Amino acid sequence: MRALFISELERLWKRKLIWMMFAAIPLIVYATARYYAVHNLQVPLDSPEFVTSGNFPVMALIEQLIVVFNLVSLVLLTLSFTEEYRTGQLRMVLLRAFTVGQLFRAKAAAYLVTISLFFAAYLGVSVAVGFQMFDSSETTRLFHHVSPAGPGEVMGYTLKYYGISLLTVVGMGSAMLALAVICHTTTAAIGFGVGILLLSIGYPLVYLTFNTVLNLQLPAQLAFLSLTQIQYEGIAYLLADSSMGPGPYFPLFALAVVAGYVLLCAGGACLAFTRRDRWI
Amino acid sequence: MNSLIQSEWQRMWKRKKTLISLILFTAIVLFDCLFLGVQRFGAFDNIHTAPLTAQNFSVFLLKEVSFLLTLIVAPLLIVDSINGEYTAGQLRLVLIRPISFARLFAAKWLNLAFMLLLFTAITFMIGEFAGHLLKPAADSVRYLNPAQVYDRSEAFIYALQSYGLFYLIVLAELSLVGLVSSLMPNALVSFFVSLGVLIGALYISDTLGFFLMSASVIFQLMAGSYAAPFYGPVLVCTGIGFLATMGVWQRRSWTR
Repeated sequence: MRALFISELERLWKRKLIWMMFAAIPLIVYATARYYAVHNLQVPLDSPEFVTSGNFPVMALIEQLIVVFNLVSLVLLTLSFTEEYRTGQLRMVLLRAFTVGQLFRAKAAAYLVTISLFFAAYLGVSVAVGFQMFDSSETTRLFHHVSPAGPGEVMGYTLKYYGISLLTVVGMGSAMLALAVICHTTTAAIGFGVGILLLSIGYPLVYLTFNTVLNLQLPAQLAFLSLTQIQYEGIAYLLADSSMGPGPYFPLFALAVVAGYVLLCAGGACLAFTRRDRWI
Repeated sequence: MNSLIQSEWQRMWKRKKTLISLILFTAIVLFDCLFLGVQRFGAFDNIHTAPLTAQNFSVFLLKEVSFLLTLIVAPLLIVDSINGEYTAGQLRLVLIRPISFARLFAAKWLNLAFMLLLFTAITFMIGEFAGHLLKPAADSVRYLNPAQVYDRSEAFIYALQSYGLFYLIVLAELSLVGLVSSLMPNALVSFFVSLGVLIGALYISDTLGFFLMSASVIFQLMAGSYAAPFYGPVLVCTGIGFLATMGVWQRRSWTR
């Protein structure tokens, strides 16, 4: 099993595309920093949106999380689950006495390791760029927090933010994984993957509009059924001071949504992947 | 050339993706009509809005669905036709016949242009139809430029012109994505590099922002307040993209 995992990891990392994505991190972070440097001129000093070297890693993640990280996750999954499977590259692997279930777990583990590395690399680069391009300050204002935070608290906040973001990206990735397993070609997998991303982005707007206009009186929290909405607003809510958060049940609800995505979609994908015979 | 176009057309419809995208696209457009139907105002940008009426409904529908067409459906169809078929070796049997690569590419380009016209036209027709079904008709309509007032027939011409401009943008995209797809080694890379090029174009220069911001560019263009040149860049992208891709295909070996 360990050998299989390593071979999966090697097969993923032999691709230039993966290296290109990691090489793009400094460019993305730098572009984000340029954007915030201009943005800083328009926001007051005591706003949580004012970027200092302390909160730059979190702000840089907020700006790019929904599009860049979800797309990176989509590419990884499509390469690993659709392309390798459908072009028959896995035939040689399955000559050996591995079950398809083992292969699925090894692939999933390789995906998790790679996407975590991507987050870690992004964090590292954004810390460096933050100190290079922004002034530091004694205290930092955080979203939905009553009082400004000191450096230690900001560090904890940053790590928690990155951790929860990773969980949501993996949740979104589960839905993409299900599509990647079902689709017969890479273009279809990508099309549906980007489609579900756009759908998740559009859903809260549509839901809230219908709710207000048709006066349905449904709870507004249901907008967070979309994982991109959790990525957009929810993570800051999860890390908010208890007096300024959206309510005591929100963390449980958000956890249930992410867990639901992972269990339903990744579980379904696992079933679909392992039920096929080996004559790829 | 005629039979080549026909065979290309058949091959395009043989892929299930084409039909599925058409059905899904139509479904989403219809749903978007419902979404616009419950709203009272349409937004040109963050500041300017106008009451939704039967006359301007289709224009606002275009704003809602333009991303779907320019960022997902169009790149998908183009990449599949221009990169997917070649790299998967599906063209081998076609090229057993004495056909030049350049002609083959021209047939592909024309077919894709027609296909994208179909998608655009469907959006326009659904928009006009749903607008008259869901919204009250107005005698006069104003768009982004408040000084210009349009009566009913003029508003129809306005909508038609907007869709025409959008189609020009889509054609420029076809040439550009076609060029990217011809240079990249597989469909996956083509798709993402194409997306990168379409989005990155905005950062290179405001002149090329029409790929990403198509709807707002069209609003400004029709109001006469669009600062950057439009027709020049669009035609250059379409023409140069087409010719460069033709060159790439002409120089290809037959041994793939």
